[in-house]
Amino acid sequence: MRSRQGEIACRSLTKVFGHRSVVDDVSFDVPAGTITGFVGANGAGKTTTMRMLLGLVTPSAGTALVNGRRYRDLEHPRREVGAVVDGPGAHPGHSARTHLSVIATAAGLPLRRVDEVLDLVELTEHAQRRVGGFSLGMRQRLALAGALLGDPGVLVLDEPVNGLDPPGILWVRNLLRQLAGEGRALLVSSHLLSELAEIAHRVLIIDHGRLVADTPLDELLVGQSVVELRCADPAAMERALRARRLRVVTEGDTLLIEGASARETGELAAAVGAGPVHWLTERPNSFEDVYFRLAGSPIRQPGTAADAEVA
Amino acid sequence: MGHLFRAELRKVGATPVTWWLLVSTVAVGVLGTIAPLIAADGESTDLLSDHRIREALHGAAGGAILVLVAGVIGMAGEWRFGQASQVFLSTPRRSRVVGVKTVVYLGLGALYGLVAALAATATAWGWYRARGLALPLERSAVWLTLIGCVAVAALFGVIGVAVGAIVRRPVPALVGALTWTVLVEPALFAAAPSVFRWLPGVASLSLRRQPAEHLLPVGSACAVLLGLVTVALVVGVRQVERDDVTG
Repeated sequence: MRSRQGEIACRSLTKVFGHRSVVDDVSFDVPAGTITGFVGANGAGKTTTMRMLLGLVTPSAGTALVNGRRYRDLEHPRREVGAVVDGPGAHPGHSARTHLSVIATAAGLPLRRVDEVLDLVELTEHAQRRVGGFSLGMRQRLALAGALLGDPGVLVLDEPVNGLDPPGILWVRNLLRQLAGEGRALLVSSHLLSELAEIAHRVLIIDHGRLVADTPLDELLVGQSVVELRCADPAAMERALRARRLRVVTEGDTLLIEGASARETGELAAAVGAGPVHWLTERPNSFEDVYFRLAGSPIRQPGTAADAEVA
Repeated sequence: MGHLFRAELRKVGATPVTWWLLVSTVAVGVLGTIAPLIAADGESTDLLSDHRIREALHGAAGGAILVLVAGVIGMAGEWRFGQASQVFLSTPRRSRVVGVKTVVYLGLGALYGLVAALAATATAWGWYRARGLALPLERSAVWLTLIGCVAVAALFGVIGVAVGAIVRRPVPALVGALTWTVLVEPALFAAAPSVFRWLPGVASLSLRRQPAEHLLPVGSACAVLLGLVTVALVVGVRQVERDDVTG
C-alpha cells in the first residue's frame, strides 16, 4: 500500500435522541500517523460518535470533520475513510467477493482491490462462500476488508477485534500498527482495554456521553499506582483511608488503595492499629484501573469488588 | 451515479430472491392464465371475444405483485443486515441511493412484467391451439393487455422501493403492502366502486385492461398511479435522508 495521510477533528459534538443526551459536547482530534483508542461502556456514546463522524447519524450540535470536511461532503469517501461499523453489513446470501465487489463498484474503485484486500485479510480461499455461513471472526475480517478497499488515510473501526481468536487479534494488532506507520489516522474502539493499551498512542475515554479523558496513553499511566494491602483489621484501615479521602476498594480480604504510596499505607496501618500487615505491595496502575477510575466504575469486574470510594 | 447504478445491478443480480421471484412470476403468469380459461371451459362463451382474451392474458398481472415484493425487499432489506451503513458510506447523499434503486426496480419490474406476459401469452396460445383455435395476437385486446401488465409491473417495482424507503423494516413493509394490495383495496372497491376506484391497486386494473366495471379510464388511472408513486417516493426520500442509521 502507498503512504496515505488523514486526520479527524470533532468539535462540541452532541447528539440528543428525544430527551436523552447520548453524546454531550465531545471534542477531540485524531492526527495522522496515530492510533487513538476510544473506550467506554456499552451505551457510553462511542458508536454514536463514530456514526456521526461517518455521516450515518446527524449531530444535534457540533461538527465532525474528516480531512477538514464533513463526511457527506467528501468527493470520494471510501478513498478517504474506511470504516468498520456493526460488522461487514453484507447480505447473507452474497459471497464475500460479491459483497466487496458491490462496495468497490459503488465507490468507483478498481475491482482488483477486491482480491487484494481479500488476500490481506486472509479470506481468499473463502471468497466464493456465502457470508451467511461465515464465523464471527471471518465476518470481522470481511468488515476490515471493506474498510481497506479504498486504501484510505483515515480508519474508523468500531470493535474491530470483536469475535477474533488470539491469532486474529495479533494479526489485527500488527495490521493497525502498520497502517498507522504509513501515516494514517486510526480511531479504534474496543472493549478489550488491554488490547488498546498495546497499540494506542492516545486514548479517549467516554462516559455517559462526556469525554472524561483525551490524552496520550503514556501520560495517562504516569504516576498512577495501586497499593495492595492485607492486614489483621481491614475495616479499621478502610475507615482510616476514607477519613483521608483516599480511594479504596475491597477485593476479598485485600484493600486496593489509590493515591498513597506503600510506605504511607504501611505507616497508616501501624498508626491506626490495623496490623499486623500480612501483605503490602505497590504495582503500576493498568489501563483498566485508570479507565474504571475515570469512568466512575469499580476497579474490578462488577460483583467481585465493592467500591468504597469516599464521596 | 453510473458507479452506483452498476453496483445496484450487481447487488440485485447476486441476490437469490430476485431470481426466485422471477421464477415465481412465470408460475403465477401460467396459473393466472389457465385458471380463467378452465373456468370458461364449460361455458358457451366465445373464447375469441375481447373480454375472454383479456381475462385470460390478465394472468400476466401476477408479475406486478411479485415485483412489489422485490422492490420492498430491495429497499427495506438494506436495513435488515446492516447493509444500509455500507451503502451510505459509499454514497453519503442518500437521495441518490433511492433514485438509483427507483430506476433499477422500474427496469426490473418491466423485466418481470415482460416475463409474465410471455408466460401468459405462451400458455394462452397453447390452450387455444389445443382447442383448434389461434390466439389472435394481432388484436389490440391482446397487446394492450400485455403492455398494461408490463407497465403496471414496472410501476409496482417503484412503489415497492417507495414503501421500503418509508417503512425500512422488510417484514412490516411486506405484510402491509401485500395486505393492502391483495385484501384491503379489493374489499373497499367491492363495497363502493365509484369511490375507491382511485386507489392505486384498483387503478392498475384499468391500466392492465382487466375486464371489470366502474374502473377509471386508462389515462386517469395512469395519472393516479404516477401521482401516487411520485408522492410515495418523495416521502420515502425525505425519510431516508432525515433518519439516523443506527444499526
